[in-house]
Amino acid sequence: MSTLGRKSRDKHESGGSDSSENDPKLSKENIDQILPVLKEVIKAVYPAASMSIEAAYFLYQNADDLIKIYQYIQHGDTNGAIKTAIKIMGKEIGEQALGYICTYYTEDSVEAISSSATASISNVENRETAKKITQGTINGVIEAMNEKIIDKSAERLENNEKE
Amino acid sequence: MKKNDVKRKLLLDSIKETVITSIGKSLEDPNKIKKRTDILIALDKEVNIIFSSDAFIVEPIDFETKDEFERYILEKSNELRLILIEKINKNNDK
Repeated sequence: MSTLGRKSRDKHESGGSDSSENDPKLSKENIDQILPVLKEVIKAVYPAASMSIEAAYFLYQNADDLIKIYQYIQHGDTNGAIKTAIKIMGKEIGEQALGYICTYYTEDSVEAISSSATASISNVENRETAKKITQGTINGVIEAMNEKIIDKSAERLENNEKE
Repeated sequence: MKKNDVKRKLLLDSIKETVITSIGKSLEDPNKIKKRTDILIALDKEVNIIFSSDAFIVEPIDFETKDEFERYILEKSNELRLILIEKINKNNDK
């Protein structure tokens, strides 16, 4: 999954036929290929979460914050979502909030990203926006995934040392 | 996205998770993993149908304490469980 994501990023970074060298070249086909991968990556980063009653109550009382974090994901800024969730809610509840959003909102998020990117791409005037949305999404997810992998590796090392 | 809709969804998702997790636990049997997954997927679909009908309503009320919130989730989970049992019994009678 990560290889696919990285490949698409490399392709975009090295591509750029229309306006500048760093301009990512995206087509509807690219997006159609990327979105299912993106969906899997989001789920892999935060797999289905069983929420504690404390976290559920906290999110219920702070629904505005939940909306804010969801909107980051909806706009393709997964990294922003992670940072905001942890900052507002603390690590434990923040991670549960992200898990909840990815479990119960991912389909909607991917649909929203897909619709907005596809609509923008078909509209020449908004093509730059479409590229930014999609590129931001991919980069955000890759960064989030890398951070998670780094966290996991550190955790594993720590456990090995303890043993 | 309206705050009350998010709260309502959070309540419904918590209720669904409570019921499906408890049923999933009662089905834990390593030899029946495939069947268990099928049952849980079917249950999930069934719960979504119930949620979208008038038979099950939750309101985003203000809870004073976490205990009140928890009690509400449990009461509604039981209500959902009863509706599910009734549906299953009706299907068995057919």
